Amino acid sequence: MLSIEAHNLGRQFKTRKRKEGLSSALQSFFKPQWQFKNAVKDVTFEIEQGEIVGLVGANGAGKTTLLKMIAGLLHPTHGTLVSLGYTPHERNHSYLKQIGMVMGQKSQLWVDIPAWDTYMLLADIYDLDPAKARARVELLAKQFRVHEQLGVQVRRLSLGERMKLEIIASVLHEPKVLILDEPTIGLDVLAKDVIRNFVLEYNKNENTSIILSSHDMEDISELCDKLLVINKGELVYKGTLDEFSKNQNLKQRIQSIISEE
Amino acid sequence: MNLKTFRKVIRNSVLSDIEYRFDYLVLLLSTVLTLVMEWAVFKHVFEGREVVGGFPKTHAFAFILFGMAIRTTQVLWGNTFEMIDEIRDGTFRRYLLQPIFHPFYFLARSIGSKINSIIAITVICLVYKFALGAPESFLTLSNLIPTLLSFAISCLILWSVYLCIIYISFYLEESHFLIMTVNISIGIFSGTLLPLSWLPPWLKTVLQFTPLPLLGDWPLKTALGLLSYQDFLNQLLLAGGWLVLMNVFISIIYKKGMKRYEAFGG
Repeated sequence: MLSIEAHNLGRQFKTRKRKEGLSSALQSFFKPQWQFKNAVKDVTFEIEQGEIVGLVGANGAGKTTLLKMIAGLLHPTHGTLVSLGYTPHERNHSYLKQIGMVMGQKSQLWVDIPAWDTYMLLADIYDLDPAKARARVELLAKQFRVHEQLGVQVRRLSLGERMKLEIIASVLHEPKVLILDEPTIGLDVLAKDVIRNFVLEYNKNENTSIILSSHDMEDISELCDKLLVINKGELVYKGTLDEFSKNQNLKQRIQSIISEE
Repeated sequence: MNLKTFRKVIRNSVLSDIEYRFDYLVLLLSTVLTLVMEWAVFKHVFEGREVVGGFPKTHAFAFILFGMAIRTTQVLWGNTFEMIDEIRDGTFRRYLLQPIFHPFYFLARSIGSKINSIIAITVICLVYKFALGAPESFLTLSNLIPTLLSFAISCLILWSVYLCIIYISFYLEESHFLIMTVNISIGIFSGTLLPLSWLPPWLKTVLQFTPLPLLGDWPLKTALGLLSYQDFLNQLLLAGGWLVLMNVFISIIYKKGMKRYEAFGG
């Protein structure tokens, strides 16, 4: 069963162009010059329910833009995108209840209070039974080995602990599609292992479609069934990881695409 | 977004604010100092006079006290700045990813961040009413409900104004100045610092075309018992009109803004 289907999907950004210095800042204020960038160009792909798909590309290749369109955060400029039967950018609440997203560098937890308080708020937002939500948090915290950190203000935690708590927040409502944007960024080897094991187990148990963007090739090779390689907004490869590896060494191929930048 | 969620957002806001106790203490201290300073100025203005610019001396302290209460509750909704910055740096996505109605979420956050002030002010007003010789017309049984109603509606108008500014940030990067303009305008021109009757006629005419008097002057005069029933109803109608107008505007700029939203950077 198809989980996500994109056809000729594209997103263009309009940004103000200006040189350095005060005079050009003033000039730009009164007479702005604009430049257009196609962050994602005519991308077509399908993701089956229960697949783990790796999204790979250089910085600025368009990965996050693509993920944000799937999450409904960005409107596509052209093309169509259907996820779980919904048009994501319409941000239908029944769709939002079925997706989860983790962005490595952005937090959805309230930083000044313990994660427990955010989880209980999320349980209300997603209409979860409080007792079941509590039990689920306990279980997930045990899996991630962060049980003791649940009662500590989030801002006092280490990066790895925070990331694990972020993932718990994203899967609390058992989403059918989980979007992970660089979830292991800046983490040590042990923390990466814990997260990878969790992703594999979660996918196996819940049959969740997972889209994983990462610069860490071990994340991709250990977790993904399928691979999407994006370069300058265009999809340059889509297929299984095995096929890709057979054609050429996986690491070398991806590195050559990234180094084209 | 149901009532339970609304309540929990308020609760989490309160818990977050409690983390910054010194901010709260400084705010409380500055409020008390403002009260003392304002009372000193009013005493000087009313020296040897019973009425100044149509405003009775007997209501002066009640005016200062309740005016301060309104200003403290309304001005500087800190999370407005925060949400504008979240639109700029992309963290605003946290609201868009969840099945919530952002305007209500923002309202709950705002109430949560002001709940400490509301409790403190309610206690001060009650002490003033029952122990410190407030004028008889201050917060009577007959004007209590109109006062609460006008105060709640004035907060809703302000919530709409702040929401407008937040959503304007989808279009305009530099929108902090709008909040500062609103805050300064509320402080000076809403009628909580000085009675509006003391302002020059041309300024009063200009203010009639803005919602500013509805934010301060209306609930304040209602609480002091200085507004006739008919005037109260007229203001209620006007406030309703402003609310509808602003919420139509909010709905338009939100829908269009979301299409433009470019959550740049990670």
